[in-house]
Amino acid sequence: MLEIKDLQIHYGAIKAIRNINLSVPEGSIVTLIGSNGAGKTSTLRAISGIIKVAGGSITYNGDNITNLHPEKIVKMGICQSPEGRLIFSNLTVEENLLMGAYTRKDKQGIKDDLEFVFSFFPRLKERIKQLGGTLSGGEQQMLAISRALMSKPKVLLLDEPSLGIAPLLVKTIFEKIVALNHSTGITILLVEQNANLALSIANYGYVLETGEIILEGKADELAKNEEVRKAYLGE
Amino acid sequence: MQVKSKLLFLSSIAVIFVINLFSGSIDPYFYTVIIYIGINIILATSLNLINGYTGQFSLGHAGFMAIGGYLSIALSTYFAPFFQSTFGTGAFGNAITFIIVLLAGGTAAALVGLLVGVPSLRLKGDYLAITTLGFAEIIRVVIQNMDVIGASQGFRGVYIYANGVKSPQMVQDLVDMPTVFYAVPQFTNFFWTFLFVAIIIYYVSNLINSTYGRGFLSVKDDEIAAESMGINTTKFKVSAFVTGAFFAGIAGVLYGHFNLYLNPEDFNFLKSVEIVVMVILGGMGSMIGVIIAAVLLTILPEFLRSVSEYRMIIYALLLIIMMLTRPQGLFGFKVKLKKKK
Repeated sequence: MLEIKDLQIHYGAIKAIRNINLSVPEGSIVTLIGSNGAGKTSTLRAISGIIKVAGGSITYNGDNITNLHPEKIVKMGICQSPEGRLIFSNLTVEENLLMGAYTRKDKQGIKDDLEFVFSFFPRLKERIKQLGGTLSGGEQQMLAISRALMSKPKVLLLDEPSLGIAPLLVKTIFEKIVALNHSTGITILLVEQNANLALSIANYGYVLETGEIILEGKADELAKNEEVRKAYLGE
Repeated sequence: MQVKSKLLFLSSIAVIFVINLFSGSIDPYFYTVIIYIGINIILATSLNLINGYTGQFSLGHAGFMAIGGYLSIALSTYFAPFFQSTFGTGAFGNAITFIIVLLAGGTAAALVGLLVGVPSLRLKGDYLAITTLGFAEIIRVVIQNMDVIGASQGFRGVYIYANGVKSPQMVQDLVDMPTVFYAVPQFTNFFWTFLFVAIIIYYVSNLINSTYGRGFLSVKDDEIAAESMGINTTKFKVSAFVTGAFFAGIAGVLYGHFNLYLNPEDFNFLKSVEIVVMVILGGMGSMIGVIIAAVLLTILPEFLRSVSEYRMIIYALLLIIMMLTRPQGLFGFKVKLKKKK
């Protein structure tokens, strides 16, 4: 569904991503793991069109979406929940969610999806009129994911959903991600530092290190791999 | 809510119209202050759209005001014979002439806003502030050197000689030729000023509470997040800038046709700062706060006439005290977002 070929991203003279290839099949959960500064977030931002690509191509359902405007990419059905959540702290929960549906025009559909995310994260419904900035970390993450869902994406890009959240809530959120994938069939590309957790819910995984993919494979096999265990699972 | 605010808007225009009928009996000094209050509300509210709601930092609002002001008074003097012969000199004819110059002044400022905005809005924070400040200074210096609009002496009208020569100053060689002096006409009155006050308040408050308007707020809150949601942040920044420039131009037109004299120094750096102070004092992104600040900062210098050279020091002190005690301004950001449901 989403294919990345020979992707290169440069920040000035620094080559953040060097020729990576990545494939996300429809309906799957694919994870991209790696340590700080490996280029995970850059890759996701390039897919969303937020940063420009220096080389290579990104195709979505056969269409080349490399360096398209972000709003076009969102309209085509790829939306991301950015790293560090980045919710609009001066808008209410409801307004945040409506911002997610910004590119949509179907009023009834937006209403239905609002109901859907509220049924999925009831906590958000309780906080509907509260300002985004006053939510807890976990609630903000729920909001960020829900906000991305409001654009009715076919591919959901999740950037470090476990970042800075209480461990108990991390578990809940990951369960929700799996449930989302099962119930709606939405395709998910998950970027994580918490390799153990990510591999436990994904179908397939890629290991990114300083801008290159050094390993890939089925998630359960990667989780057993010596090298991965040593480098990322702390053994 | 839509219907209600439209009703409020229309009724306030009616009230403004009625008050205008009695404006003749207002003390001229108070009348002047009231008009300046209106002009400053327009300036501050339009800058609030850029600096407050969209979170950019423009320091060049006086530049846009200058463009609107100078272009409009040049039009209404150089083309006075044309306007007078086409529309007449009655109240109705004057109104049409004024609408034309108002729109011309606003549009010119908006176009320049677009020209400046597109390249410079890629910059953020301090850099944008420096660029816009530089732009406003360029405008001022250009005006200072344009003889057709009086250059550094200022512009109060134009001499039109029988042989068609037009000049803002008496031309030495043509002393004996019959000439007509077309002064800047006093078009601005209570009605026009507060008509635009009502328009900008109505426009901005409706904009900010609409789905489209939330785009501006999202750009201020977090650009990356906004982009991730498919919001074209550049478009919003430019459109805030252009709209703000348009109303600054209108304020310039009103100012020019009230003062009947413009000097490049009216639009110096301090003027831009004054408008920024109104926005910060009132609270970035608070409609009511900014309006109150505009009123206060128009009246305050009147009380400080005896020490007017120290006005900027008092402004600075006000700002410092404000930042220490109420960094969010007189009214915090959230006031204006309260939904009237």
